[in-house]
Amino acid sequence: MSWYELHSALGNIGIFAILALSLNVICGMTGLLQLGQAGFFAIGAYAAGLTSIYLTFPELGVLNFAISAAAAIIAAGIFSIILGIPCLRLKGDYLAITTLGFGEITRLVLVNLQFPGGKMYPGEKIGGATGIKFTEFPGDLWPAYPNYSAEFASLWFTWMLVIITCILLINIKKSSFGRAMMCIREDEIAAQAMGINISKYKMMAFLLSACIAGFAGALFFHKELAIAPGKFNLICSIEILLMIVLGGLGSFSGALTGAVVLGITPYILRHVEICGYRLGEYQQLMYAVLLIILIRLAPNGIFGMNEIPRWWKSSVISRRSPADGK
Amino acid sequence: MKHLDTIQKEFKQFFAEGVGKSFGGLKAVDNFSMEIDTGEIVGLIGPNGAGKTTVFNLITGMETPDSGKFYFQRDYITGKPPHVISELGIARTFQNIRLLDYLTVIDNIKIAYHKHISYNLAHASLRLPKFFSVEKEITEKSFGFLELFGIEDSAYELASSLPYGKRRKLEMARALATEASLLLLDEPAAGLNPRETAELTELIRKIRDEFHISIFLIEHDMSLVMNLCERVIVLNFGEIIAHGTPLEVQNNPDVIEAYLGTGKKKNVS
Amino acid sequence: MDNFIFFLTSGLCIGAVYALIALGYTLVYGIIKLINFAHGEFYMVGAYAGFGIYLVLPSGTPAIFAIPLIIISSGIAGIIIAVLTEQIAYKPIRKSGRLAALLTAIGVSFLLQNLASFINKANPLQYSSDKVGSIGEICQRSVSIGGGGIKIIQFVYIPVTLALTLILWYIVMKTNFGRAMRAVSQDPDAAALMGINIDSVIRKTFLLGGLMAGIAGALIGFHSVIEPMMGFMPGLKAFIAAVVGGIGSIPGAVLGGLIIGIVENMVLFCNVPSGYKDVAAFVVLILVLLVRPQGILGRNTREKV
Repeated sequence: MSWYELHSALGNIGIFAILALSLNVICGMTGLLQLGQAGFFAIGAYAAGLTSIYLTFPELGVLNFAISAAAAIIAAGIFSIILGIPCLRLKGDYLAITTLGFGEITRLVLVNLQFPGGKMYPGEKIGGATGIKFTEFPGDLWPAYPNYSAEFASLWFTWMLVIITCILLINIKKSSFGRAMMCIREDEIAAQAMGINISKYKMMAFLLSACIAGFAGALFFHKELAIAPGKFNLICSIEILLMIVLGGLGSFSGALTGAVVLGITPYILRHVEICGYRLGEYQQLMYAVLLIILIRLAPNGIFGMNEIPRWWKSSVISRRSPADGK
Repeated sequence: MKHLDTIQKEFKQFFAEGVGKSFGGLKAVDNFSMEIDTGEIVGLIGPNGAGKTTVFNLITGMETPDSGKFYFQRDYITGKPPHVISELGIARTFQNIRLLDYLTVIDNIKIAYHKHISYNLAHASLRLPKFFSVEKEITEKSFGFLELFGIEDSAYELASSLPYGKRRKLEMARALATEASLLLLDEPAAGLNPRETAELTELIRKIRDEFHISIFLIEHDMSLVMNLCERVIVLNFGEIIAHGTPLEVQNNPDVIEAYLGTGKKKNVS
Repeated sequence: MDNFIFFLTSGLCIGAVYALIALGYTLVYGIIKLINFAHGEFYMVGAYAGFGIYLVLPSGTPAIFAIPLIIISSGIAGIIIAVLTEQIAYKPIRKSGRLAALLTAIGVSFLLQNLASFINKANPLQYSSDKVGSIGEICQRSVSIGGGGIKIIQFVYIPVTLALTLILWYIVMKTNFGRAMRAVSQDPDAAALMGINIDSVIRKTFLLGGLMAGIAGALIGFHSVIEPMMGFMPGLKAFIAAVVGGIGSIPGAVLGGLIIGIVENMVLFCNVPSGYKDVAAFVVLILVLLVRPQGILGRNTREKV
């Protein structure tokens, strides 16, 4: 594997780690089954992309990332409120299907929507099935400037953000906010009796989860510089879900671990051969089988609901997870 | 039967007036009227299916009455959402214990304080000093309640690991920790043996005395009701059929009829 | 006005197919509260099986024999794959909770899609229309309705769906088995205590669902192409149809299917770019969940405190 490939792969794993963390907020901690996370990922990526294309200020250099990241977070946030309000009174399966619908609608709309080209593509329209791409500005509109975006979404920056996000989220989990959300996950009726405003906290979970996913989208755009709607599909949402199920629903360190394991696997498979069959071709098939076996044999994932320190200490404490019997 | 018209409404803590609720044609509660004075212990009894838990659900806002009103500390609370009613100072326990099994015992209590939390998401995620000071206060108060009920040793274990008796206590501790002024207890003695029930009777009385709260409880265990309650309301098919001191109610022929149908006394100490 | 009739007819025909698939969803969900994500794949397997039979038939077989034969074999294939899936994948995790069931169903769905991709690596399959009187040729024959061509074979969909719905309704309402199904769907524990064999009832429910899906697969295969991912979208839309009509309700599934089919086509009638056609179903879903979450003909169930 070339150095470039490895670099890119690790970057992607980092971005998906952030996505896994974001999904854990709403699925793992609050217990709401959200199957449309790829939609927020896409919204963030497109918001960042379009902002970069329309509003780049060469004087600002790397701070342009801040602008597009802000746009991504705000856009994702707004859509999460739009999605969240109807979802507040939906339960279980209905919530899953609605969020799935949201993810699919987002993808379908992005496939069909065309955006003005702005200064980068004067007179043209961008978008649609081929997506949007960040190239050089034409002519001498401004001096050829370095690909700050790609440099900026560098490996160390991405992974630093992964660690920071993980720590911040664990802090939230071990605070009153986390307790309230977990209470909603465990027993909504008890939560109401305790004075917890269910709607407020569900909305908070939606918002937080979507904004982080949107931010991951911004990172993704600035890394790839070219995005297309095809990637942001149901399979993407399911992959993220699989990561947190693998790591243990409710555990942020688990989400990280799951993302790393599931992220590395395709690259390993690509280079492994058994009896003349290159395993890489069978990746999706293996994932499907893996999912079925995992649910059957280890439904709590690796860490259950605990973060690493507690899991390390506990040997007596039972590790049943919210996936049981509901 | 006590008459309600002579009561001066402004001074009583809690009122129910003509509350009614139907579920698809079945009248679960009909013309339910009562009052509770601060510091009273009032019992609600009746055969199974009489509508007692429904009354609790109506008071706490989990169901909305079709007719009638509730007043609590001069506030009109009918139809308000459950979390608002909890904030106003009414707490309840559940017939089938609703503990958060996958959280620790102390976390279960800490949840009761969530409305007193004065830090925000930023303080929490960045672990600013304000977070630590507030959490310390909450932890201390929570331990206070655990000690009151004698379960502080299991503070950091998962709630699911507690034996049944302690689970009941935790459920009550949690309701008490919300600093409520009216506590609704739904069958607090269910599943307890006579010794534990006697312990519970003392505990409830002590709680009422120390915290100056009113207690409204549903119970089937007549020993507890007779020993503890100052007044008893009897419900049958959603209607109040008797209302008075435990002794009055015990001898009321309608009550006996409702429970047994034949006139024999049942299980009374 | 012409155009309207074309789109309406199109809508009814595809709606009938969605209804068939939706019936399977609603039966399974009614009984074990599982959204069988793989149900669309049962439909796909049915289509492939039908095509397989077609390949095996001697080339001179008159369509009047061949078509029913294909439909029947698709139905049987649907039954087999449904029962197999239930026994191997769903039964072991029945007690493990909603999320586990959902994820397993998704896993099965992916699995079947990928297996089909391996079998059918190249182009999508289609019934060949080279010979006059051959199945493919008959299926291509179309008639002009309201300014657009509708393939004649599509007119078969509605009667087939109605017939199957009536049979299903009869089974559920008038037979002992149907009563057992309704008992299990209301309260599995009580039903078990009454001596009902839960495993058997669930298995047979999947059987019925798989039959419907398989037949739907054959029908679509006649007028459209057969390819490994063909079950994904129709599966989703059929589930939406079941929810819209009221999950757990048989007439609801049919009503929902027809509604989705018609709405989709009405969107095209209103000159919305065809790429947005699929969005219509999801928008209907969200509207229904907002206004009447139990569906048009569904019943409201409440949680006891």
